[in-house]
Amino acid sequence: MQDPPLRVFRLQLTYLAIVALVVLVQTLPLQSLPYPFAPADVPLAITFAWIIRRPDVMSPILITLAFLFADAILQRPPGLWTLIVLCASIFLRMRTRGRKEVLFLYEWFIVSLVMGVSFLVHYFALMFTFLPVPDVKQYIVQVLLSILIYPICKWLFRLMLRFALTQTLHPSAPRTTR
Amino acid sequence: MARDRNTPDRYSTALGRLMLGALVVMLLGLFLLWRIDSPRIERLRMEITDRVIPNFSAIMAPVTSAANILRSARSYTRIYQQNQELRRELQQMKAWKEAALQREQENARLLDLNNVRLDPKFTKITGVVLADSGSPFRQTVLLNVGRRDGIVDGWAAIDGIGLVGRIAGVGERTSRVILLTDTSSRIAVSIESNGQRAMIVGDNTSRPPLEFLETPETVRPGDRVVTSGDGGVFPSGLLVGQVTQTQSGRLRVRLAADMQRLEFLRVVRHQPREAIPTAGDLVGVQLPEPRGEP
Repeated sequence: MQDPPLRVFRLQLTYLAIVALVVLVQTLPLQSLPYPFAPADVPLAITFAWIIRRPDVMSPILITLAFLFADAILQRPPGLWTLIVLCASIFLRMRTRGRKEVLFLYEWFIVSLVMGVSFLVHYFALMFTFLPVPDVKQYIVQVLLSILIYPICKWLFRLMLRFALTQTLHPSAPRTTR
Repeated sequence: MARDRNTPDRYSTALGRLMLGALVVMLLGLFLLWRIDSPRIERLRMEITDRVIPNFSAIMAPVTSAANILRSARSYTRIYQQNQELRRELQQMKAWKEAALQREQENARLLDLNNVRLDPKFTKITGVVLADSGSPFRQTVLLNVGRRDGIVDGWAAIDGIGLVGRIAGVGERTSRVILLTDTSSRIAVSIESNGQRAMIVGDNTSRPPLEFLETPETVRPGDRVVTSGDGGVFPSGLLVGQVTQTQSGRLRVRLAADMQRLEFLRVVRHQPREAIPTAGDLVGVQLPEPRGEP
């Protein structure tokens, strides 16, 4: 049974708003010294958490829009990180399609693998196009933090979905219990 | 949850795949286009930033000020210690003030003797920092002055004391400053004590290294570093900082600007010096060309 299109649309808007907010909060001029360590790529973790739970909501165009915006604001090479995230999300979508709920540790393992490969591909893509590559140590810290932050994103998303369900659906609907 | 995992996915249909392929090609094309012709795409990026950031920072002003209050609250905890330090510093400063006053009078006298005219084009535009780069691998800030205030690419930005960076990217209402600490920042400088030329090459640390020094042995920690203006794009004589030496003996620059917290930046309006193309015109009036008479 599919969700009503209005609800899917609302979830998509929510996703865009969350990613835009995260990106813009990162640009707040709270400190202008170089970071002592690289913070996690929160939009990436959010995207993966959403696509595993709700692949029907996360259309490729949505992901492209969100990450192109992030590329533009965060001064990354436009399109490159978006492309990598898009491919990674397609891969995750194919893996999770037609599959029952899997053990969370297994899911986390897969996600961290995909994250690691994405960052690696990004690094080598920068290198092969003769662009400045980030510092390796900081980059590894960023990958690890992104992996660590994934369960939090997933938990928050689950919380949000449950809240949204109890808000919007009438209580007699049997599908809220699962 | 309200989803059946066995329904065929919308994106596995032929149309869905076609759309995916188109997206991938488009993104790849965008990246390659940016790699080949980056200025045009960068202008587009600047336009987007120009639209988004000023509106956003107005909304987020409470958050920013709350963070600032928190930061100042933290400093209250060691206020006594700070007070002692300030007293000590004040004592030293009084001595310096006397010296400075004497110097100022002397300077005024000497300037008067020399009849020096300081550069009248050296004016400044002050802007507020709206946003930083938001990414750990770029060191830039966004100012709220742009093309409509007459900002031009390449001008220097200072924070009242020392150089902070240079303008790279101007939008209608905003402009981006690449800080000295950014990995793509290269500034030509000279060491004030012996006039040696060098480059400050940003490497994403708070103390950028000095590169291309001819004789690093003659440079001592504590020497002042100023911009040299080589290349004619950048104004010369702006204070950058002091030389320090790391454990490994590498020379780095401790920036004079307070990079911890950039709030207001001044952009130095700078016109490139007029070049004198020929030498002969200066010597005398040019004679008219001799007519072709036999």
